[in-house]
Amino acid sequence: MVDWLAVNTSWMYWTWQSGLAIGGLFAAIAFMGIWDGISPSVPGKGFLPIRTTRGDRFFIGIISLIAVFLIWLGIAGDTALWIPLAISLGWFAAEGRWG
Amino acid sequence: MKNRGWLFQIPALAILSISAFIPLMTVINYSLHYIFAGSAPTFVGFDNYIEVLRDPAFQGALIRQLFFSMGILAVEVPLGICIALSMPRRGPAVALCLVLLGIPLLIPFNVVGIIARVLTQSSVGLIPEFLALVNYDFNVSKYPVDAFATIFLLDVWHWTPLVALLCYAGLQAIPDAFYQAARIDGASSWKMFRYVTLPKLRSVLIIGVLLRFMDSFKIYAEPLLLTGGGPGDATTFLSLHVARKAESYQLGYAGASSFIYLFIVIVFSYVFFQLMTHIGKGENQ
Repeated sequence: MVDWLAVNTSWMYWTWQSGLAIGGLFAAIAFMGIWDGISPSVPGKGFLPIRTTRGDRFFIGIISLIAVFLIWLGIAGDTALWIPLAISLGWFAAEGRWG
Repeated sequence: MKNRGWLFQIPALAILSISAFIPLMTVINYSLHYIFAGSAPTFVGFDNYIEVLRDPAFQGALIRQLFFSMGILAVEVPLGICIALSMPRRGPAVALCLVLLGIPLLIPFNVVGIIARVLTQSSVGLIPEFLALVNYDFNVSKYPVDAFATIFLLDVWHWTPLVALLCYAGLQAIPDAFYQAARIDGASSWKMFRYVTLPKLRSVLIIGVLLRFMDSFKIYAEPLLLTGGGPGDATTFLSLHVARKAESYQLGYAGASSFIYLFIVIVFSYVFFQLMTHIGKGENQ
């Protein structure tokens, strides 16, 4: 099955980096879905200007993560990528907890 | 599983995975490679993104695109509301108005571009001939302002009826009792519009604004057919810029710019949706 997939999706130019990123994203979405099924999220008001559910905050976190990386790449290039990673993960955690 | 609604989503998810996920992932994977026609792809990490973000041509196309899309929204939404408000609510004139508004919507993008090209062609077009009467030298192939204004007005003509029809449907759904109550309270026409009509139109306006924003961000056929993105880069919007790169087989660059393009559309759509969903909500409660 894995061999068949590898041969028949080679035109998509998968790399382990993109596979890991998209796999992680799907795993996170699945986890959020299961979590919401077990303990449904109630919209709440934090420091963000809108009432948000856990899913909203997750979406805003992902969008923010991409935005931080794009801004960093545009300004500083691909040097010291741990800095945007630290900024975006810190924001992701804070916004997820208190947003 | 208590909620069987999930099961009904499976066919839609299966179709979505083929129509959206596979192309999207292919574009993302392309964006991480240097791919040129005939050569083996080389993994380059974020290099394509850096090249795109620092490319003055991409930045110019993005600024033009934002200027165009915001301008379109600023004109089409108020104009659509005005048209809807001025349309008759009942009687035989309703059908006539709906047909007249529907005609531009039925014309395909490429035909709209060809119509504009015929009308604006210098020396033979109707518009340059007409403007020559007031001593205005109108030439879409020569003057960037003329080309940009033509595309802008073309879009306003083509798509304002959509906003008007959405608003008209929304207006028809507002019960007269609200207006009667407002009249008894002595509300002026403006106050009735501001505090009754506009809040009740919020849901259709959300749809209208999102549709028009996303559609205007995808504008491609009209500038391509009118001027090919010129004169210079005056009407090279994002879609045209990305398509040119893809046509010249710079698939890595095209993939990276497509991803950034998609990201911008998602961010703006989300912000518009949140703004329009929450603005003025307190007034209704």
